[in-house]
Amino acid sequence: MVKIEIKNLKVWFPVRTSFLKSLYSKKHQYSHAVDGVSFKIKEEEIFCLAGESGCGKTTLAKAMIRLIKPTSGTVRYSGVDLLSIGKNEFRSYRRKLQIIYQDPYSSLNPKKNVFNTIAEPLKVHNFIKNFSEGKDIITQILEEVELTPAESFFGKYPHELSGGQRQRVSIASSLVLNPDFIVADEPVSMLDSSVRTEVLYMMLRLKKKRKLTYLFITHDLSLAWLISDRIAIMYLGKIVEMGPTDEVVSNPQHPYTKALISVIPRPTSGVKHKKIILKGNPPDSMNIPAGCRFHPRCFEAKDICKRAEPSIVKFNKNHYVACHLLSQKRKP
Amino acid sequence: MNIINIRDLKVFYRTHKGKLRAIDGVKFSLNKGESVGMVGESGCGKTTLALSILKLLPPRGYIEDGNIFYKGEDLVQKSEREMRKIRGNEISIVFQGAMNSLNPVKTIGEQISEGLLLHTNMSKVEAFDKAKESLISVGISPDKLIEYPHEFSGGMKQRVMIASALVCDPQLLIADEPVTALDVMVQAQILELLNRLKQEKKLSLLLITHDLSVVAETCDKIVVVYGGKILEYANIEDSLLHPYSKELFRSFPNINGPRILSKGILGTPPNLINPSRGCRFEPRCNQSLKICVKEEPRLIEVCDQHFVACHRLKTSGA
Repeated sequence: MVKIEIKNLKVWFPVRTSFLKSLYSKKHQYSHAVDGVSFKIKEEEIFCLAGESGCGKTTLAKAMIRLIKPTSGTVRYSGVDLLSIGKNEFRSYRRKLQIIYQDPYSSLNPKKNVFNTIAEPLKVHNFIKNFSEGKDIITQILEEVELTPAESFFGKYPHELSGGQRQRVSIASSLVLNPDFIVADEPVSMLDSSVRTEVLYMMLRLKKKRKLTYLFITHDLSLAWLISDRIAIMYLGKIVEMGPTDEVVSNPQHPYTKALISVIPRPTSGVKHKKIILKGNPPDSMNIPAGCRFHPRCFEAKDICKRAEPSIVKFNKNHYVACHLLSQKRKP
Repeated sequence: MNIINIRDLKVFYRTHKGKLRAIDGVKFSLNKGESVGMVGESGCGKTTLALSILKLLPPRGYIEDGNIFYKGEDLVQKSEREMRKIRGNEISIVFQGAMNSLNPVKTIGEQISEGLLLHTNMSKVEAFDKAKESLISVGISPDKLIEYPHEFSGGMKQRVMIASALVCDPQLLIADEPVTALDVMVQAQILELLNRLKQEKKLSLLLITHDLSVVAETCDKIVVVYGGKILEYANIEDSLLHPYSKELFRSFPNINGPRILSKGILGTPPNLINPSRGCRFEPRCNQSLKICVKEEPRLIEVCDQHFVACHRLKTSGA
């Protein structure tokens, strides 16, 4: 069953211009952070969004759970259109849709101890009247995220915890409301390699136990490959390739995906593989290149790529690609 | 020829609980033009080692014992004044989190040429020209010289850091986690740059990272550090033998290998204030022997230029 479905979602941020400039040019400039994205996430699936920084992964995820107001498009969660319902009505959905942030060093309030950090969402959503009631729930959730003995962590402040422990606390505070859809925004990118696997393990275990659906955001494709069921590669606000993780990684079709996969560092030395290193940085989301937005950096670009923007088409079962070269190859 | 030769180095930190033995008898050398990658978990003493080579330890840290020979001269004995001539000029460092180590109120050009003005008799104009060259060599257009750090992206700031570390043509570059927190594509760009500079300038490189795959792609040799000790020292082509190195290796996703999430290394890094008598890794090791609790293994050469500190290897070898 489909858990969450988004259709043609756009998030444009208006760019501030000076008063004088706004007088003689009527046109508003926008930064096209997310520029028409559609996909579905099935229940209990791990769907991964991957791409370079600044491609709109986080903006898209935030728009999906209404932390940012999208410019247009629809988001349906279990059949309900989240963007058309009112603020008060949305509150009951808010606790079902939670987010785990990237940096546990800055996402936790340094002045709040672990107990209060986790109790806050409970209080906001009227699960508990006062903090003493929350003790059992909080003990249980801390045990679930492997912070034991739970009582010893109640009074600790973020600065007393290690990076891995902090991330566990922030996972606990998102899970305490029993959500079923979790946006995990680079949850392990700030963690050490050995702690990283422990936290990932725990997240996978929690997923099984609580029947969670994950939207996993990462720039690390090897990580995405390891844990996700399906993957979507984003470039400058659009999805360029989407499909089952195994297939996308073993048989990438879009040049951008090919490049991303070729640069994944491999721990085995000796065997040298060819790397496709893209030059420069992704262009600015205010001036998106005409035609295919990837063409200035593409190593296979043809004439058509400069003129027309490719639409995303089915490559084979469940595997979608937005590239002109693919449709050209197929025609003859 | 050895460019750097570290002998039985011990670096301690004074804490209110007692001495923290951050580096406890480290011995290794680096040849000219060679690149060595140092890997280990956080808190194992990697950064401390880098800082002690340049004698930039924080006030609580001090070199208890040992020597650091740079071209035959002992850096431990050098005064602050003498060290200043070496830092940035002969040995350079690119710090972790380069995004935050640039000065926000100075232009990129001023920051890159700063080292030149300190170490050479160049005029400001000459220094600026040299800075321009250096910036080009890391692949940034020279008209960015008059821009400020906030106008740069993370990857570009990292390049600027490398440019300013290399502007005085040092012999040795220490790069402390140069690609952590960077994007994969930018990461590949930076590693390619380091590889190129290494060849062009015959630079010796000490790369510090917790990411084994980064070392595998750039270095000739690998040093595995754990709890302030070297557990293994090998050529990059050799397969690693120490149980810790193996576990570390396994905990990295390998896209050519099987698609399973490894369990990681269970347990926590050792207490460095009161270390155990035996092998530092023993409590977390799944292959420990009785002797591992009692006696600390020494670093022994198992085959050509491959050193391992593990009791198990000694017994199996004999």
